[in-house]
Amino acid sequence: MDEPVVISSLVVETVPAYTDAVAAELPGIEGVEVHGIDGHKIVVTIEAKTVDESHSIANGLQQLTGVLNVNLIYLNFEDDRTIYPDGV
Amino acid sequence: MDITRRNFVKTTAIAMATAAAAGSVASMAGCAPKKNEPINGNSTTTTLAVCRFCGCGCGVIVESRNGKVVSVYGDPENDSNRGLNCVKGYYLSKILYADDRLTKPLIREDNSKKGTSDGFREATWNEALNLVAEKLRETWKKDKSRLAFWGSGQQPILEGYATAKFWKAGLRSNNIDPNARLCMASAVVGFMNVFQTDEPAGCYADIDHADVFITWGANMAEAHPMLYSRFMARKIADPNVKHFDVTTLGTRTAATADKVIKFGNNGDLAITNCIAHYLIENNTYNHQFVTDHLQFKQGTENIGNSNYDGYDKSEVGSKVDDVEPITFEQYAERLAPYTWEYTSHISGVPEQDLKELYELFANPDLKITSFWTMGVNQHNRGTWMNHNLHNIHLLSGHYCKPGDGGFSLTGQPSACGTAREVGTFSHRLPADLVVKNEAHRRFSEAVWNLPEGYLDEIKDPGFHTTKIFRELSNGNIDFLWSAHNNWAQSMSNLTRFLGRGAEDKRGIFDAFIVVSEVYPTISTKYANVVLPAAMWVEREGAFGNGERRTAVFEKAVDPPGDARWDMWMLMEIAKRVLIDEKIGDKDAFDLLFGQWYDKDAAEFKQDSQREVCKSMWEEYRTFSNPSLNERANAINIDKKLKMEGKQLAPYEEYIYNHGMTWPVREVNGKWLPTKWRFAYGPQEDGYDQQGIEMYGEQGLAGNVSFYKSTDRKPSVVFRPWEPPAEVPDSEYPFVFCTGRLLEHWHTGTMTRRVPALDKALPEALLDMNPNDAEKLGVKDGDKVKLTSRWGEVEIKVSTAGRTQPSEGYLFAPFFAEETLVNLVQQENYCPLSKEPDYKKTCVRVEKA
Ligand code: SF4
Repeated sequence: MDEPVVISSLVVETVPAYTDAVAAELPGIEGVEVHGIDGHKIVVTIEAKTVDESHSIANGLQQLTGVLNVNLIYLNFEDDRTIYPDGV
Repeated sequence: MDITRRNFVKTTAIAMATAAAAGSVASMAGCAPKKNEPINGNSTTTTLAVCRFCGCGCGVIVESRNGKVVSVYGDPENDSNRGLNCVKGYYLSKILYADDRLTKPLIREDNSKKGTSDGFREATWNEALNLVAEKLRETWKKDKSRLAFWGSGQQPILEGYATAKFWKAGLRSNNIDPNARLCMASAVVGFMNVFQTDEPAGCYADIDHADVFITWGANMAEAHPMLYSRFMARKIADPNVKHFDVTTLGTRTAATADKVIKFGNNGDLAITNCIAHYLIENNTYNHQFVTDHLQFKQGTENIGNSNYDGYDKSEVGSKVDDVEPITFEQYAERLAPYTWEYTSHISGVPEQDLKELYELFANPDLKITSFWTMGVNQHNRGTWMNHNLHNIHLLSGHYCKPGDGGFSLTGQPSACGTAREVGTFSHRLPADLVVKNEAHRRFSEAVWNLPEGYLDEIKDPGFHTTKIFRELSNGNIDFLWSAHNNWAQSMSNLTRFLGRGAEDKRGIFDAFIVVSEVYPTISTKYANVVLPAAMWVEREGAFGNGERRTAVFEKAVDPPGDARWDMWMLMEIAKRVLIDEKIGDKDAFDLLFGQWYDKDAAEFKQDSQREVCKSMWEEYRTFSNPSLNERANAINIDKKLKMEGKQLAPYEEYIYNHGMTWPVREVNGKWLPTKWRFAYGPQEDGYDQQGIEMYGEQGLAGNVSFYKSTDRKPSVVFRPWEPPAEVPDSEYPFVFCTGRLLEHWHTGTMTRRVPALDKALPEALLDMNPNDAEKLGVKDGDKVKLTSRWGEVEIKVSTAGRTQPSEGYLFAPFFAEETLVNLVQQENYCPLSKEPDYKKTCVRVEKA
């Protein structure tokens, strides 16, 4: 049985002087992967078990020094057992 | 998820985010699905939607499988948000699935338990509808001043439209008002008074063009996250772009501003007059703009305060709308007292800061976008302050160019679409028409196929929101239907309106109250019948957002249990109430709704919700496309109503285009939106070419023509500084402000059901300046009692909260049912707009 996973992607907007520092810090956070940088924007995915966990990770990103804004782009939660105990 | 699917989903997620980061609509559109092409595997269905939460109105694409929503993403082709959602997007679908969703009609059996969640029993739809209809009909037949409907900017456009039609043409009652009265009414009256047409001239794309942003009483970082993100992107793209925050409070918005201008004592009225004064005094106003476009007026002044029941009918209260023309010179004279010194004295703002603000407006080369919201609207002079903001933009010619203009932000997803455009207000008819204007009634009768003169019975406006609740508490309302709002938490002076004050009458307990809802709220505790409704993408609907964008959301999944589409409930109640009623010689229900609903078969005539909406939209859009109806068209021409000023497109166009901003114009068979109203230029580029060619004049200053305004000239009305209704004194020394914070949407009825959001912001705290806390001997986490002239409430103190009040100021959010901050809010509204002032009730603080 595969592990259930909620996958979301985000664009993290940073103060330009901090972009590299934030991009370096992000992979250290559980579930977070960096996929690219475009100017002051960092493309990120979050993988977690539930929407709630994903949201609290995303909220955590908002608190990092140099982060201006966290935009949610895509969210798949068909595997969130707190929403769909029996799957979809 | 198996590994193949997981990889597929992740690759999709990355591709979408990469495109969104690149920021070009074209690159994003490349990877966006073309309508109804699933990107998430063949077994999913892709539908178009709009976010359910704030007034930004972000587009969303929903994917569902086996009748369940499985993914959502920002709609790259919706021009309002271009693929971005804020973090509340995580909960868009989760809010459909919280455990306590209302899924069965409830009937209160024990009235002694009113005010609690007890005393209800589950009922069948038939029982519930019969009971509601019987009570409504009984009240209607006996005395229709004793019934009321309180609607919502959360309702989709057509549900609001059908309700307004039922109330105004079916019951011939104007006792219908929306919760938008609490947030947007001052902006509405401002726009109507100045331009004779509601809603902003510009659009969100102004953000991408502005050199200077000024936020006035607007915490955009928390209340309009997506727009704020666009705003930050603009600042980063051009480091010369500056942001001035004019505020009474330190907020997240203030934290990122280049300059924070803190004022108090209704000083915003003085500040704006001071800018206007020096524009004229220093001859830095835009002469050509003034000559070509503006007329000047003054109105009734010293209008006192509406904090008592008899205000509207009082000597001054009945004259607040009066204005008289004055000359430009007289206007200048009226402004003369607003010197740097006097304004600084009134507002507490240093003279140097006032000069800096003035310099912006005096510079014709800058593009200045002002954003304002609740701090301006929820103000005892909210309409005046809206006037004053338009005044300084108009005088300086900073209006109607991309990036250069005044923009009133909206709070709810469809405050514009459903409340303002449809006319669910006590004084309005659809499309900016008002009940007291004879030609407007004739025009509405024509569209609704009513006999001429039929609407004369509703020529006088009905009860505005505060009046509804005042009369309810006085025992003068027997039937109240509230739909998709939460008055028992969001109204001011809840001490009175919940019947908790020692001397308050208890009409709320005697009246028959119907609440249409999706979750239990504090308002459902006061209900006699609860009608469980379909929410968000459980039915088809459309929202109209803050930039005049109409966007359709498609039905993606079924509602749970017995929850039903509001439109169906309305039809079933309307047919029962209007039984055997005639309009002329026709059956009343059939004349009003027979095109869509077969009352005997108890079902819609069209095969799908899409077809019902499409057909009803055709009638609604006749208001702004009068040529679709011969009788209406003749009145439009004869009375010069210029109804095409708000032109709407055929229904499918909104789906095909992922939303469009009105007026929408047909050019060579293609429907094109207008982004910048009144600005002449190619329609293809979003300018108001057709509108100006139809009704305006070309070649005027700024290439602008205000074709909807009387004589094509907006009114600059002089509005003086007048003090707040309450000023701090020894008994009530603090100024108390309430508002929203990022995590929770309004009264928290949806967002607080999401554990993570609730955890992120679990309780409502009272933000206080550390010096005040020290003086009072309280520390973070201590419980204090707030007492105002109106009531009291207990709340925990925080000196490190989300906002940073100056000494003498306090802030608390209103999302928490257990901390009902509105128990202390003054019962006082702007006399012109009737919108309550939630921002400056005077209180004292004691350790609890
Ligand atoms: S900014 Fe507002 S409309 Fe946009 S996703 Fe967030 S809550 Fe929804």
